[in-house]
Amino acid sequence: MERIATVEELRQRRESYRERLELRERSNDPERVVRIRVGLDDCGIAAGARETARYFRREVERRGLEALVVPVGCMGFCDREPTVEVILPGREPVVFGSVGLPEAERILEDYLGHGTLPETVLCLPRRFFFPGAPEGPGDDDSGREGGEG
Amino acid sequence: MNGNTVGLTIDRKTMSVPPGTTILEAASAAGIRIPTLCHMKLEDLEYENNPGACRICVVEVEGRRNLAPACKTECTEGMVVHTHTPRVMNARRTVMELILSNHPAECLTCSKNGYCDLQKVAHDLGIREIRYRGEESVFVPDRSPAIVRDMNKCIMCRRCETACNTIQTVGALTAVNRGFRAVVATAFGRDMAGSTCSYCGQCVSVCPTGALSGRSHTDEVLKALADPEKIVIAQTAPAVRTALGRDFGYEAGTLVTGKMVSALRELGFDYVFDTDFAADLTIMEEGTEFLNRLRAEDADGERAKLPLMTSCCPGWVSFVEQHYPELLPRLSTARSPQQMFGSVAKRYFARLLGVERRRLVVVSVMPCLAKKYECSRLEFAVDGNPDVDVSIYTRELARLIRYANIDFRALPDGEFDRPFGESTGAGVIFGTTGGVIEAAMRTAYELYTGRPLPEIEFVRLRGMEGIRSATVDFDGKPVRIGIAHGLGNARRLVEEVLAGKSPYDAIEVMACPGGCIGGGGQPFHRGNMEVLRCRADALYREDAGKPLRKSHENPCVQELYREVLEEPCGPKAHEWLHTRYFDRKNGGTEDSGPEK
Amino acid sequence: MTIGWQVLVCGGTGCRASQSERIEKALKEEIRRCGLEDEAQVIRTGCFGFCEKGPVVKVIPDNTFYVQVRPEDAEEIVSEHLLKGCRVRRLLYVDPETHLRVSDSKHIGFYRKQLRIALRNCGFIDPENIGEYIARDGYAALGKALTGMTPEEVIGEIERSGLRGRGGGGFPTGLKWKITRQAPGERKYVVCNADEGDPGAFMDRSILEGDPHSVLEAMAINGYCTGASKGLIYIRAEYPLAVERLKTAIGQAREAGLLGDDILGSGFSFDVEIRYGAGAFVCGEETALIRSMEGQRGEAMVKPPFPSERGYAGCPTNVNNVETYANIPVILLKGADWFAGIGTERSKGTKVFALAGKINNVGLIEVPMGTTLREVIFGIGGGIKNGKKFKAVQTGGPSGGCLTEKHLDIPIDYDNLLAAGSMMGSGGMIVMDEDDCMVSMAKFYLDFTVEESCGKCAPCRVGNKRLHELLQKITGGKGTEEDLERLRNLALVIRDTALCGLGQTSPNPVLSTLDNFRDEYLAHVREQRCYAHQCRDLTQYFISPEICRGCTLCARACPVNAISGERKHPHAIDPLLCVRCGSCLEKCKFGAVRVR
Repeated sequence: MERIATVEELRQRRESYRERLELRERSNDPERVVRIRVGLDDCGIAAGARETARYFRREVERRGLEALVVPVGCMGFCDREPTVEVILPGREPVVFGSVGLPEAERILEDYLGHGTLPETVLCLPRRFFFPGAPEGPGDDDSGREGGEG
Repeated sequence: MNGNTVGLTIDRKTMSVPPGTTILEAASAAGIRIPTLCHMKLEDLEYENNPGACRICVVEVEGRRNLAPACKTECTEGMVVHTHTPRVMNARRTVMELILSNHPAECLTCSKNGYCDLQKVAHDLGIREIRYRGEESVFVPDRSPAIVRDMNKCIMCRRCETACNTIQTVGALTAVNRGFRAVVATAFGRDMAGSTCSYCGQCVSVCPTGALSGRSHTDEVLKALADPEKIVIAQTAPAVRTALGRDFGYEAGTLVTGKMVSALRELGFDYVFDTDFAADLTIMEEGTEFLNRLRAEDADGERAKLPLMTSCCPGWVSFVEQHYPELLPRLSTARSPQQMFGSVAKRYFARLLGVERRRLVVVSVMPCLAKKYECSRLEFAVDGNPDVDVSIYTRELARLIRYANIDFRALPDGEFDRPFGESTGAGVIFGTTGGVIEAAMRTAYELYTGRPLPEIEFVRLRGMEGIRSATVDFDGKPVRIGIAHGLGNARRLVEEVLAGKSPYDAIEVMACPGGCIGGGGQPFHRGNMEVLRCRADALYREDAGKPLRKSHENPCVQELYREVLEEPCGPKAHEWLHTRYFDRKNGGTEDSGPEK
Repeated sequence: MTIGWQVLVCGGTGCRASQSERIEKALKEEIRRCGLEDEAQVIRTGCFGFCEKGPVVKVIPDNTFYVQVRPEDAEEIVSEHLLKGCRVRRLLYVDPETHLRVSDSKHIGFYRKQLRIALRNCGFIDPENIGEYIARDGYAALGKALTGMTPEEVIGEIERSGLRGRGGGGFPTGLKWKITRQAPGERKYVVCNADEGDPGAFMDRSILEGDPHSVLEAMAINGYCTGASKGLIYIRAEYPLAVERLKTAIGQAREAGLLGDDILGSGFSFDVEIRYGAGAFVCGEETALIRSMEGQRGEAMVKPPFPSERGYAGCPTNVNNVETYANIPVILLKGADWFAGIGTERSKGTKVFALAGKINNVGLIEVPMGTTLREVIFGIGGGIKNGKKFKAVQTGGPSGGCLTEKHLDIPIDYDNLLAAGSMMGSGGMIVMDEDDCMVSMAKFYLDFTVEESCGKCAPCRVGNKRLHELLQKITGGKGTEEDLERLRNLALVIRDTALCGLGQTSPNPVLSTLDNFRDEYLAHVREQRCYAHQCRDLTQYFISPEICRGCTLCARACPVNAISGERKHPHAIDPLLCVRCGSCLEKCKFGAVRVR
């Protein structure tokens, strides 16, 4: 490591290492940030969910968004893969279907940027998909898990 | 309070003391005696052992949660101290019982019986039973030629360690192991003979119990005295007469020369001589050697063999052999007075008596433990017959006197026998620090300048400071003298020599603090510095009262040179009165130091 | 490619002992095999604290907490979780109460009630990467102090925070810094006490393994405040991983200029050196620690003088413990008020405890001062193993005392624990259940202190040994009621008179069990019974003849042939031969073997 000669340089150095730690810090306290949950699993991956997830990650970093991209398992909405759930802090989760890269951009621009639902993307509140279930399938990042088998 | 004193109360007595005073010191000044086992302080010698380890001196200080060790607790303003509350006394007694529970109860057969601090404090505390019993230490006693260690009696006061490491810088003893197995030992658990011990015996002087004691040779003496075939000769060192009386109730520093001589006769010695005679002889040799080296330097400017270092003290010689063998050429080759006496007795006196040397038994009475080791060195024997057969120390002589039912105080004052009872005041002062070099100067001055001394007492050479120096004017030639007592001080002078920075032409060293008067074989001073001061004063008194005070004026010495020795430092003198040294940096050599 | 996954693998000593290094390797291998190198990182962190369930692996960003992971599980974690986003359910923690699987550590009872300040970075950052520390505001406190605060301001902040020494004594940290600052002296030292010696305690080790820079930073801050330019970390050589991580951290900090000359352009210079201890418990006592660092025998010295006045090499020395230092940077960044807002009135902040013994969640926890014992043991610790009954908890290690049912609702802080007859100590907490004999427990701790006493002062050297012997006598069935009185008196005297903290506190386990479990002692001495069946000499195995079917299983299991009997007839145990191993009890299918 290069010598840090001043407090200002120390601050700069801190910034350059933030990214590594930000992922951990946000994941430790996810309720504070925007959570972008991308359904992977086989059907999602086949429909291009991996690329969608990568796109979100890259853009979150590039735009400096306070967001956490969390890959999750199957959300059960298999004819609309890739499926993405977005949770804005304090808001009801919204599920987006068939999220390719253009749709992903709209989600970032409209929903994350302005809080409005993009017109071109299929989107519904989570409860529409999973009535009665407090937590959706496909794993949940709240950490509280159901049933022991 | 004002800035310079601290006011406090001890046992309802109010007092004010200088800042930095401990409770123990403050109490002592106020006449309150708090018992201790580990603490010991000899201010003139800069000896202080104060580890706060025995916990016998604990006192109650109001406001403090735990009891405080009086030896380590400084007085503070307004402090209220109680030294004998039930809580304190219970703690003190319990701790004493603990110490005693790991101490062999063999007081009656212990060499320290009657002189033991542990015994005394236990008695004062009125210990009648030991409630806490259990495992006891089982160390194997270690017997060296001069010192016996019975570590089962060690109470970990660490006084010996302080004496050996801080004062003497010998480093033979240190605490090892942990917990219950902790004990003071030599490196790698060797016996003392295999350690760096110089046998100065200072550890024995300060030991509060019988853990460290001198090796006893009284049986050998009694055997010789009882043997009608043997002619038994005593020689007594100067320091002995200043201290022997203490064991018979005399004040410290009382000269008991005459009674000592009578006692030795009563014991059955055939001849009672004075080592002081040999001290005069030593001055003739050492003084001449010094002048020779001084003149050699004058002649070719070489300082190779200066400063000359005295060689009277076997502890010091052993120290140089083990720690500084590169300086052995600086040591005077003159034997110590004990060995000069033995040599002359066995060679010359035997001839005078017309008997074989083996019929003579030479017993030296010394203030010293190292002398036992010295007379066992092989270079001081002829065909296996040692020049000095047995060396006993002052306390051993006292023991012999009591053993033989002699009422010491009732004895008449006796006179030393001739011819080796004749001595000068110069020989007498050998017993105290600075004495050897003062005696040497009295003679060297006159031999060098050819004129009588204007002032016989070199007051500048006297005193108790650890290192002293003075310059004596030899008719325009400044002779620079350095004096050290205690091996730690000696080490400082030696380091100067090694660094090429020593300003001295001659250095006197005595291994024991205070010189021979503070020797390891003397009656215990028990931490009382006054005792040592009185002994030194006594020697100077005896010197002042002597008609002859310069060694070269001793008629018997003069006669000896006329009869046999021819001249100081001559070939004959060399054969009889000089010796050689050994490099013992890595342990002993076969030539020296085996156990007798 | 942007990193989307971070897999944190615990690299603490405990998890490494159960192959966490192999897990790490296997994970990396799998990630490479699946072509995920660009999106997934494996990061080795310090200890997570939940050692009971180690090895621990945590997956980011969904914060999945995998427990008891084996190297073979790496494949599934990567192929299911990282590739497909599906958690490996079988590796999730199961809540013992609800029997539900919990994926996020935040919702595990063990973590829910913790507040991690000293441990803030442990299990979170890569301790071998200074960048991660800096990203967590590392060295920002040092920068703040050096460029924006005077030493007095920093000390004032620490004082106001109310932080007290976490090593056990609880001395106000700010005050200690102030005293060291004010002590006159050209040279001063900063010492970090990392000689953690309590049985079962590993708070300091975890911090050094998981977040070494926080200690280095705090030491530098201390150097700035006290005027020292040199820091020394005294760490036991038995902590090789902590030593390794420290060395790496020191190297990185020097390279970054955060140690060395002119730190952050402030003109302040400071460097740190590691000193190794050989694992003596007493060297955790600051004066013994200093002596050990000086190369001397590790034994305690009487205080005062305190190290802050005269410590290492005779210079003023600030000695703080690892956990204390770890708190410093956060206090400076978040402010004294924030810190002082946590905890109780006289004990601020949090405390790290090492939970051990008969408790479900063995591990390392950090809770706010004032948390009750009940919450720690039953909330965080998950209660007693195997549904047994709680009996006592020993806090403060061998220096502390045991606390019982009636103490469970005491808010933990320095003063409350002291008042309850125990102490905070460095944070060891050993839980005992109904099967534990409290006399044996006291004996166990005495065993330790007897072994670890330095042997300097008599009460500790001999007293603890005798205390231990008395306990042996009692557990051996030979004790009397008078022995209980002896035990108490001795324990009180040792506490009152011993030289250092080790000795003064070593009787605490005895005193607190005597107070809280007197009946148990009485059963041992009056009835010769140990109801916990832990004292072998007081335990008897016998076979109930009514129940025994004579199946011979027990006789065949007995290693000493103490059981005899014919087939299909009741068997019997010869109590003289029986070694009370319990094999028969284990083997018997009918419950015929009984213990008394």
